[in-house]
Amino acid sequence: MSSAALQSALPGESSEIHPEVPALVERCRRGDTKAFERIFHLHQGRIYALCLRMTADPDKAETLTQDAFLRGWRKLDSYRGEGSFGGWMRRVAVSTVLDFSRQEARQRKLFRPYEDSDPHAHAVGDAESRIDLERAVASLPAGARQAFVLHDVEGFRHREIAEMTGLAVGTIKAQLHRARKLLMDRLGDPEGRRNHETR
Amino acid sequence: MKHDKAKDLLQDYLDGELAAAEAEDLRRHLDQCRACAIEFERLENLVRRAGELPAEIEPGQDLWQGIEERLAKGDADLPAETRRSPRPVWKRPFTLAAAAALVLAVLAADRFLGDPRIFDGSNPNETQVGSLDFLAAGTMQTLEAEVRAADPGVEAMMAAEDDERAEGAGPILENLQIVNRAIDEARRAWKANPQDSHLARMLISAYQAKLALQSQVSRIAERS
Repeated sequence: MSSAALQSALPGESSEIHPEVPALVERCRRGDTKAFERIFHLHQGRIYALCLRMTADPDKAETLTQDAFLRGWRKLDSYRGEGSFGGWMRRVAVSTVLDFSRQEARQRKLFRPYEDSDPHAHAVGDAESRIDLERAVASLPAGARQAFVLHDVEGFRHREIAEMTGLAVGTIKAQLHRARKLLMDRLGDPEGRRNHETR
Repeated sequence: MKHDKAKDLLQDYLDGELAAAEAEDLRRHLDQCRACAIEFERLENLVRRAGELPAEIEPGQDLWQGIEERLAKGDADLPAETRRSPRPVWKRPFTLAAAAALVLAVLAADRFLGDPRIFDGSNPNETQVGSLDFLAAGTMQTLEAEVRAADPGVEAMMAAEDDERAEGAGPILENLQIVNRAIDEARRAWKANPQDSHLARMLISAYQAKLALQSQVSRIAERS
């Protein structure tokens, strides 16, 4: 697949377009929490998935999903309707998770990473290979995991990730490349090898 | 293009980061080098699979209720990072005064902890009263009391068989055991070297870590 094709197939963009959202946002601006509840339910799966993959921890992801929506509510005035609300909300969530990660890194140096936990245990029933990939992503070091999730899963560009994280583009690329190499090592990728062997 | 250079550029090529001439060189190399072609296909396959992961995952519980409660309380105006899970020690009800004392004790340790002691539950002596030793000892006592108060529920979960424990508790309990050992070691070391303010800090940090883990265990127990 070419790079252009990859970029044009950014995951989930179409699901962010809900015709009722602009009117709901206007009601939210007037303090209508029922409208905000509707917005929450339209977007919570997307935001929770992002938080879960970035943190690899279901408990944190749930709290951060709530925090992200509350931050969104608080900052609604900064959404000017120029892009999709879902896209704006995803940036708010990324910012929320990154703030948490920075704080956590300062406070919890004693802790081991929860390598044995299974953040995707509740997703039983999906394809085995997807679960393998989710688990492998969850096992990545935090910086590499966040770069991979934001670029290859969420579809943000290097420059956008650099702006959100405050890191240099070169640092983001290095983290992303490291993540991909680790994932290929951990997954083995028999499918890719098989394709070549049968050529 | 040399093999090593081509291998280094594969990810940039995949991401469309190469200039046209360099990309053409790499394409030619891929036509000739089986190892790089395989590596590139593995990369493509990984990125394709990542893009195919489901965009949405439903959380295990209804999260709206918590948001609604916080909106009703006006908590949406609080900075998000002050309402973390696990909840920071200073947000716990064990007193803001203890947190403030802890900060003061740590900040002042280098200058004022001339004779810091592990506070073993007895009342502060005359030497300690009126000095920052007492502040440090009081802080330690408060932390120890807080840890003890939370211990019964945690101990019960630690004593339970693996299959009886709440989901997700295992790794946290393992970390608790590590922190318990750290506390024991820090206590022994500080008792042996009461002049060492770094050991005092280490012990305070270990207690903070234990409190945070106990909070996590409590939250899991509440949900189960």
